[in-house]
Amino acid sequence: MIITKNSLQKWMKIPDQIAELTNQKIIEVEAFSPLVEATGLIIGKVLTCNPHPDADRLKVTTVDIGGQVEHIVCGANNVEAGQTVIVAPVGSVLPGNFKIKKTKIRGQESNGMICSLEELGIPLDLIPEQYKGGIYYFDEEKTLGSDALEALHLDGWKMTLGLTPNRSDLLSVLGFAYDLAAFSNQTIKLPQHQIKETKTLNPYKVTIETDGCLRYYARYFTDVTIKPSPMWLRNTLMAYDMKSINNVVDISNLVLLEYGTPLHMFDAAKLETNEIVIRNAQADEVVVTLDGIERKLTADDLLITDQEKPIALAGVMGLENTMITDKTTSVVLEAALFEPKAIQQTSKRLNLRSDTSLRFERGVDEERVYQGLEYATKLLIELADAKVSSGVAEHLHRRQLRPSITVSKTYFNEHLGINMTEETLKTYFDRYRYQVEETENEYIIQPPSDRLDLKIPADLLEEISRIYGLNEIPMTKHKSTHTGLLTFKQKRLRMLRHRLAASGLNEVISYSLNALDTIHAYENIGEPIQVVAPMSEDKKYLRQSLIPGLLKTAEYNRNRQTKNMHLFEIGHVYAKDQEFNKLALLMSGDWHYQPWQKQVIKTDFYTLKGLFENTFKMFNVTFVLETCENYSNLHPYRQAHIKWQDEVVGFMGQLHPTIQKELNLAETYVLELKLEPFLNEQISFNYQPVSKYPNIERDLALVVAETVTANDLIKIIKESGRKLLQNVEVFDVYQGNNIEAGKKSIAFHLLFNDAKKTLETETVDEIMEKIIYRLQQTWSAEIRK
Amino acid sequence: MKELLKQIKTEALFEIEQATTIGALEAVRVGYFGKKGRLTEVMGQMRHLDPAERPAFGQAVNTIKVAIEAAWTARKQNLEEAILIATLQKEQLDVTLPGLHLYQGSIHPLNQVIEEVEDLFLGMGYTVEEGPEVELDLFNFEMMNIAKDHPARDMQDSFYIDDKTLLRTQTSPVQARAMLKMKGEPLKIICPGKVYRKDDDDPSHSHQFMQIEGLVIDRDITLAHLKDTLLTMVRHLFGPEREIRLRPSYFPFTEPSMEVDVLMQKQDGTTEYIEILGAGMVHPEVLRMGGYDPQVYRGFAFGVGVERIALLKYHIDDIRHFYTNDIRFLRQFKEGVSS
Repeated sequence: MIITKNSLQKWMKIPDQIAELTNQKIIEVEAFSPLVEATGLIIGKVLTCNPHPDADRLKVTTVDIGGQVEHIVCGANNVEAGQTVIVAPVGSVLPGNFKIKKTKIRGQESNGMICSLEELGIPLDLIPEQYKGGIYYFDEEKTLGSDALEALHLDGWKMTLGLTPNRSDLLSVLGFAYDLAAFSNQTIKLPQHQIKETKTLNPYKVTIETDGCLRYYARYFTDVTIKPSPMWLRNTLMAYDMKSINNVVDISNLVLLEYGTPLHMFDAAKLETNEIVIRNAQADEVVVTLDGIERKLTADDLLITDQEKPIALAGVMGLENTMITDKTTSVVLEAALFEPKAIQQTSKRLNLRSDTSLRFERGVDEERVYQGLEYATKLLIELADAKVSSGVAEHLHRRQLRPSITVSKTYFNEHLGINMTEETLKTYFDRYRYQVEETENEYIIQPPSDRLDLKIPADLLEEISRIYGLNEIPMTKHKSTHTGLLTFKQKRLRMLRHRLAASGLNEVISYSLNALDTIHAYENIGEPIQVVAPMSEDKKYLRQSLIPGLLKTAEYNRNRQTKNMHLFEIGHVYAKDQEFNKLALLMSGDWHYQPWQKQVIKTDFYTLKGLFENTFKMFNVTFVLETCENYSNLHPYRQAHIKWQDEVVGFMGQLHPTIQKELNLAETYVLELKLEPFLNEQISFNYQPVSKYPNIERDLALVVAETVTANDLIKIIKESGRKLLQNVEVFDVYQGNNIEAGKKSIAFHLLFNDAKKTLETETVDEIMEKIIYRLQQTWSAEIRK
Repeated sequence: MKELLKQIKTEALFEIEQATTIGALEAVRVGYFGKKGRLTEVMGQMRHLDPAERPAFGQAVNTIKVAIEAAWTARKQNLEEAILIATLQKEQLDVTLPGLHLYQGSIHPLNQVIEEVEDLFLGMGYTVEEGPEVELDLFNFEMMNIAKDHPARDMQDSFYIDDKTLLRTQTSPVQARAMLKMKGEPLKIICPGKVYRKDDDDPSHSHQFMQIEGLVIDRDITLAHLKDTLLTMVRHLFGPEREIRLRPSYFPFTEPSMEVDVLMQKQDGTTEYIEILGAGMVHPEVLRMGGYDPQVYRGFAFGVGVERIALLKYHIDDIRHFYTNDIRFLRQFKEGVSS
């Protein structure tokens, strides 16, 4: 909603710091600026106008700017002697900080500029046809040398309000003036329009046959002349970014802006009866709206009819069959009130939003309906030479529901945490135009009819808080009886995040909405979830894996010359009836390095595995990896399931070399894990005394078939080593010369200890024999000599 | 004899002093204390002496022996030390050469902000509540007093999944869930998390972003409590000298509703009020739907954009940086940055 100084000052004395006051007390001010960002423009009269001797398109004029005549070279082809024009004299400034200076154009002196409306910064589509592409000229004499913007009714400021849906009262200048008056201690007086009616009786009769219409007034006009609006009306609308159409249409727009009353006009000649009937549409009834479009209706839509046929889609748009044209001479003027919900559903379903429907949807003051009708009537008589017949056809079907609000006398102080006297409070009530009844302990408050948003005590609390001053409210600490603690799960998630970052991984956050082809690229956790009417194909489905997001990040960084990338993300994945947390890791390129010492920890399968296992060791969680071949986008021979308590909880592997190449990535390894099982896995343990006795260490080098995994062997070693075996470590893996084809050598370092006594060599020898025997039996392992 | 001993001592001490290597020093030792060493020989002569003279002579020899040994040991230590120093000297390092380059990890700035806010509120007795991102319309809108035909739904174009489900457009549904969970008992929570709205991504919009909501419900809550909480948060995040300004606004789930501006210092040193969050007293209808008697309980709530905080705090020019995850961007956010 736009408010201009010119329209506001009709109602009140404008307080100082209007934008600041509005922003602080009423509603957010989105923009505040002069209506036209030009200074020093004055009225001038073109005395002479001759072709420029050296330029075909230019004219040399002399312009009287009030006691002084200036030579001005003008490029407009519509400039003529005798015109009263807008002059930007030397020293004035046009929008864009364009300063007018003395100059010579092709040898001719030019001391100023004759302006077009476009040069004043007015959008081209708002400029009347006759002035497009040329200068503006007044159609009446003006005082030469006087302020041109004032003469144009384009002086003063313009303020754009960031309206919230509750404040329907601010959808008119009058409504805004009422609220502002409360903060500047003023009273708004509504004008009493003196209407001169003819002796002919208004022939129309109105009948409301639906609950969707609360009241309906109709006036009948004859001798209407459709013509362009006078300049003040054209330019007033222009200030509101509205295009002037003709006097009749402009009048209804002006009433809409100033009073917030939506009106409609019918060409009376096109009505078949004198009966206006408001009813619900029939299902599938078809009408053609003003814009020429055929609309199929439902029984929820409201229609205005002349009994024979529909003539308007109530509160939304008129119909083509009764629209005003240049030939219209008699008019039926409608001012009505409709049920907001009815208008809302119709305009929404038909996608027909207008200034009219917006106001009906949010709520129009029932008192304002008649006031608007009378204001429009007055303007039609004045500006369209109309004659209005005697009387208003009306039907008051029902009143707007405006409950009174009862609050205890302590209510405001209690909720705001302040000590306001009753006296102060009552002055606030007065300034807000509340009608208040008082009992011993309560106020019974009736807000004014334009404040449809005030329904419950909390609504009044907001009113009192802003007039008291939100910034005047004190601050009080809330004394807590609660204990502020993170849950175990929240703490663990944080620890995990910090640990991964400290280990040397960058945390990323990527989008949850992805393209279809990524959804099951790595894991299928269930039926994909798709959003209705997506913004684009690549934001259509909810992710089931975090890997595509990490790869996108890697690709983005790679394209910006980053070679080494080590990333993680913790976030939700989604499928039908599922939503849970996952962790994903991506490592690509060198991790830690020291070039001048030729040290480097490159990323390979085991780097990622080690980092991952080490991270979870802190949570006392150990995993088993099992070779798998489920992931077609991973290297077929370098992928594994991550198992925990015999359940697959994730996977890891090298990105498939083809994809690596596509993304221009170095060898890249990824891992993904369902997090939920571990987030609640609490550690409980008892301290184990540290052994006082020495260790015995043994090495064991085996030759086995290359298909036997380290884990196969370790499992046997651990089983046979029993309690005394404290640790098994692989220290060498070898395949090649000296080893039979199809076999490999793998060597282990075993550490034994007995916490209760000094361990005997013989005891360890026995255990080693047992281990070797079982390895031979189970995996045909040979001891490597 | 005495003369001889004196001479031996003088010579031995001289030779010890002259020895410049461990080998030479060892030779000195052999020369005096070895089987054929001079002092050994002198000792051998003792048996030729009168038994009465022997103790005095033995004592004299011993005195010399002790003196020579002490000088020898001291000299050896000297020499060894010199050798060690010579060796260590060769181990001189250029301490300015780069150390092992450990890849620098980082926590995402948005999560840093969330933890920062969480820690503040944990200290004030709040707990952290979470909820699903695929949310029921019931919790996201209806229980927040945004009925199906409510004009406020125009304000947020949502990613619907079906009639009843959508990607939550705000973290408020967590409030609804928490209220039901508390079964009418007082509560004090913050709810951080991801939310989604159908905005085209541009420097100031993102279809996915993060919010933190706070909700306190108790018997005696006033607007004064809310103001104190907001100022505490703002100062914690942006510095102790920050001031706030409240302006009336509208949210369906609070009444009164307000927007909060913070007086921020711009990079050029001037100050201006910048809108940062929305807040208000919980709407009685929201309390009622959440299982609280609005006659008995009151509450306040606030919601703040996590990106908004980070943008202002670090003077970031484009919200999309948070989601493109350029490593050079991410690494700038060290932990423990001052407010």
